[in-house]
Amino acid sequence: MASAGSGDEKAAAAAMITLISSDNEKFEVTEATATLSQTIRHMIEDGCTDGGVPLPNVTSKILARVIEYCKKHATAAAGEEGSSSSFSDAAFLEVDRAFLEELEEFDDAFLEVDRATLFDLILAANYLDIKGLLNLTCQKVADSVKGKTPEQIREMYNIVNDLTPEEEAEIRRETQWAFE
Amino acid sequence: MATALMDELVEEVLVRLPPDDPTHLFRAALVCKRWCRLVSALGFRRRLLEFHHTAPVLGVLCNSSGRDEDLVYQDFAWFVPNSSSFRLRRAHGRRGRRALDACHGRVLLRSMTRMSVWDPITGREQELPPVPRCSYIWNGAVLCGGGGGGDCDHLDCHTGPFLVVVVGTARCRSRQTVFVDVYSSKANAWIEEASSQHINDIGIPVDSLQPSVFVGNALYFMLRSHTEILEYKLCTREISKIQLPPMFDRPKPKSLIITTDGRLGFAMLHDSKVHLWVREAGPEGDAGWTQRRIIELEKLLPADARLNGASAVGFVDGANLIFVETDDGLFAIDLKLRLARRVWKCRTREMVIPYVSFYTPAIGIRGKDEKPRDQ
Repeated sequence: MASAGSGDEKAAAAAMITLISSDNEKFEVTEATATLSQTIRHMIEDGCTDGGVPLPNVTSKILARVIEYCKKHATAAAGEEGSSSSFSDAAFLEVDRAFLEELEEFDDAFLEVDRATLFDLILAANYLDIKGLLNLTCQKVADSVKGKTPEQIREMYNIVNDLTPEEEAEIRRETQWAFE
Repeated sequence: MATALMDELVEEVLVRLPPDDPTHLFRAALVCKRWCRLVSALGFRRRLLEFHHTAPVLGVLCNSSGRDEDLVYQDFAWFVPNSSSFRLRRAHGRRGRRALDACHGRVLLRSMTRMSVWDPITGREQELPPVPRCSYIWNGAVLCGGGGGGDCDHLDCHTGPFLVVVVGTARCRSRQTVFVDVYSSKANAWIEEASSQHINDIGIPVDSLQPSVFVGNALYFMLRSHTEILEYKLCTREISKIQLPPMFDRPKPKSLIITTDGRLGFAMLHDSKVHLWVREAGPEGDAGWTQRRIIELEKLLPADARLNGASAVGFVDGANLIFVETDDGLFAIDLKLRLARRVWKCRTREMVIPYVSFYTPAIGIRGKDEKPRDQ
């Protein structure tokens, strides 16, 4: 990433945007934080953010969490940009690693939520088009499924088994090794 | 999850299950109709490719020979899974055959007299008509025969048409002469023989134990000297030789590889290190060899895995995976995670052939009103 760090960028970073949740709560965030969402970025580019951005699919509880994620990741991105010009390569790598470690810790803590919240975060990340958050939350669910039996997965996620006994037998016959 | 997330997002989750261990996806297929439909659709393979960029290494093909239960000395081609939980539904080995090549889910086998193409997943084996020119020393490759202009995405072509290319050397008036024959499954016949104007004087026989690689629109075969390779361009049917860089006192065994960026390369084991070289175009368009990477095996292998007799190397650059044979068996080393796992106890003393393919459930549980997903 280029490290221009110009005055213009700082001015843009300081610009504030109002996000409005489905339950009508207002959140003031910087443009840098908000534009982690491609959906909001496009709205800003189209100049339709005056009077706030209504997000009818996201509750205030979830929006608060999403903003928390975006703030942290926007700061990290800005930090990386700022640091690249002022450090030697080795020092930069050191800073880079520290950033990444801190982000990882943040992400781990961020994912300590119940399953319903995790799904709401996936839905919000998808709606707002925040790639990093979508990846993080979907990977969390995938990791929880890994190594589990179909019965355990169904129980974990309240999924009703609607396969007929014949269908189930067919799948098992095809892939006996997967269930040994 | 059944109600909370739409199909697209359930896919987004399931695509993140590691595809090199198909167990995860097959278990997911048993959760409910919807999951089964999602992972069985061809569109899901496309999503896997988009997300993981390359097809996974499901296993390797190893050749060995020995006496069977009737004490008859035989060749065996074995499929060795890369993951400990993955098993083939059908036989893991083919008796009386050697594996020559694997491509998009197909394995090319040769027996004493015939060639066949084997799909280890379905267990189906198709025998080919006899090779027109019989020679003692030859090698072969199997290629996708679909898509004509190379526009097949290779996600589901393992049941479609294929080509088999045989490159052999025969002695003719005390000189080694090379010949090329091509089999097309569409015609079920050997359709093409390199005509005399394309037959060059090669001098050195083809190494029949070294799997070939397919890069661009050309096949590359190692020559027995391991100082040169043979190039066969499929479109022009030209045969030529490429010199390998001179290294060390005497030529070492090398295996041909394809690098992540789709270039021709080779891997060579020397002094407990794997040296990776790549062929790159110079400023004037002339191609030369550059050393790209050295992998120190001793730091990666368990302490008790003795490398003394290490010989076989199979390398999958896209997957950052390397297969190395030691006195204690065959190890798969994940170069990214720096983890080594023993995948086979036996010794083969030959190059192994990586089997790179997607393996997702293909179970026809689709509601009558539901069309297969296609993106």
